[in-house]
Amino acid sequence: MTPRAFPRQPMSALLALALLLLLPLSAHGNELRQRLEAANDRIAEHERSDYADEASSEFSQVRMEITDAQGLLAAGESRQAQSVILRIEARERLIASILERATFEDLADQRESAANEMLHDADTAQLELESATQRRQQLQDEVQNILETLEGDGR
Amino acid sequence: MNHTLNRTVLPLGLLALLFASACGGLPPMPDNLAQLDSLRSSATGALLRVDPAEEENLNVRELLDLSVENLQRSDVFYERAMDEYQRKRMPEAELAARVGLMYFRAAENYARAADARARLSSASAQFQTQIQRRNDFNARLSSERELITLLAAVQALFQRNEELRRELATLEEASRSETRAVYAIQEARIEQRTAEGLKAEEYATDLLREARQLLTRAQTRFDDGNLDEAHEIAVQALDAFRRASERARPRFMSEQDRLMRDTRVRALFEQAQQIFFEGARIDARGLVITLPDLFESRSAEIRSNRTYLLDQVLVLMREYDNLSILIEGHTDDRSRVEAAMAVSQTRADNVQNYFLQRGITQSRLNTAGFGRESPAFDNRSAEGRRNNNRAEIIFLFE
Repeated sequence: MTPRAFPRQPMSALLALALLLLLPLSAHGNELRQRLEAANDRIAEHERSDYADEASSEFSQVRMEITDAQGLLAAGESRQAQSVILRIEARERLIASILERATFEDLADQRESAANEMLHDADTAQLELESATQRRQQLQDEVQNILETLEGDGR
Repeated sequence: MNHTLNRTVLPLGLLALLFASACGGLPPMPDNLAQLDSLRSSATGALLRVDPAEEENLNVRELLDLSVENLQRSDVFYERAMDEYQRKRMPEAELAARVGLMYFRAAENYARAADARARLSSASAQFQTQIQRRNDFNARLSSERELITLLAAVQALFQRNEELRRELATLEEASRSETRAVYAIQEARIEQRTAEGLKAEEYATDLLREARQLLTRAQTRFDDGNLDEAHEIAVQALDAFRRASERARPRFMSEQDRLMRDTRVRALFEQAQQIFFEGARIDARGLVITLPDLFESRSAEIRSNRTYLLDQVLVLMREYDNLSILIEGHTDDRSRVEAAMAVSQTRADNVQNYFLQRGITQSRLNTAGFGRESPAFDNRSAEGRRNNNRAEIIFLFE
């Protein structure tokens, strides 16, 4: 009997081969979903910031991109989804940087304003002190004069 | 960070441009890539603004690290974009450039955040410095204000003291003027009694009248508060009374001589002198016996330790029982005029009662109160005032 060039069940072998080829694709899809989910979580966190308005257009953009990415992943378009996720991740970084910048610029402005007010207060206190010192010196001189007069009168 | 940029941005840009020119025939660069390329070659200002000293600040350092990290990511995507562009795969180049551009902007934002963080740190330090400065000034101001309050109080005290001193001097001056006027008037009154005792009414009528008028004027000026004028007029009155006394004295003495020739009168006077010494004298009315310090001040009560004086007078009254007796009451100048007058009358009445209770008949006795108007002693001394609380017993010759 001549040996068969192919196994008895060629269809099963082909199916197994296909599954083996598809397995990395499936793993890749999962990784993309995880990245998308992580980015989504970070973006949700950013949205709770007091300075979220500063990045409102970026938030709108990223929300659309997330929707696109989810649609592409669902359709198994991993390659395109990866491109969109790359953009999402970059935009998430951009949003984070905008919020950070807005936060520190606002705080710095506030603190500079407070420092300026305090500088003004200190200057005012200095002027008051100078005036009071002058008044005290004047009174001291007057009292000294009275004492000297009394001493001169032998009282 | 400057070094990082120099190391990464400039060589890559140059390489890209060389590669592009060598290949030739490349399509136009995608907008995002051109923008990123332009930013990388020119925009380093915002990324380099942070004060190097502030890089030691951990918070600033962290933000700068984030900036560098994003810049490096931007570099990766820029390289990828250039690569795709060289291969004329424009959609891929466009995508990589967009991502690179976002990382670049993120890097720029973190650099600006670092700059703001440095400003915040500097402003905080400035705030602390100024608050310390203000608190220091305020503490010193508070201390100065306390001193001002204290010094102002001391000054006010001195001023009040000076005012009081001036007021006291004024009062002393007024008091001196008043005292001077009072005693000048009293002295004139004493001299008036002397003159009247020397019968000046009869022997120096004009002078006595003039002196009395002057005394009345002096009293009026005194009552009106013209103290200096009162003093001056009282001195004139005193002088006039003295002149009246001087004029009356020779005629009075000759009359006394005549009286003394009456052996009975002479015997009475000599007897009285032995008992009362200078407290006995002869005047126009007769023998006057002065009983000083007979009463407590402001009281009509006869002092119990002085009644012996009245008993000695009583001896004379019984021996010379044909002579009428006038009892005068007097006071010092420590009471008001009306009160002094009332007390002096009661004093005279009390002395009269003393004599009545010891058998002297009422018909021989008469009383009169002179208040403070006729002092025999100087009211300026305590002893003089004590002696003026007195009675005078007059054995009338006519």
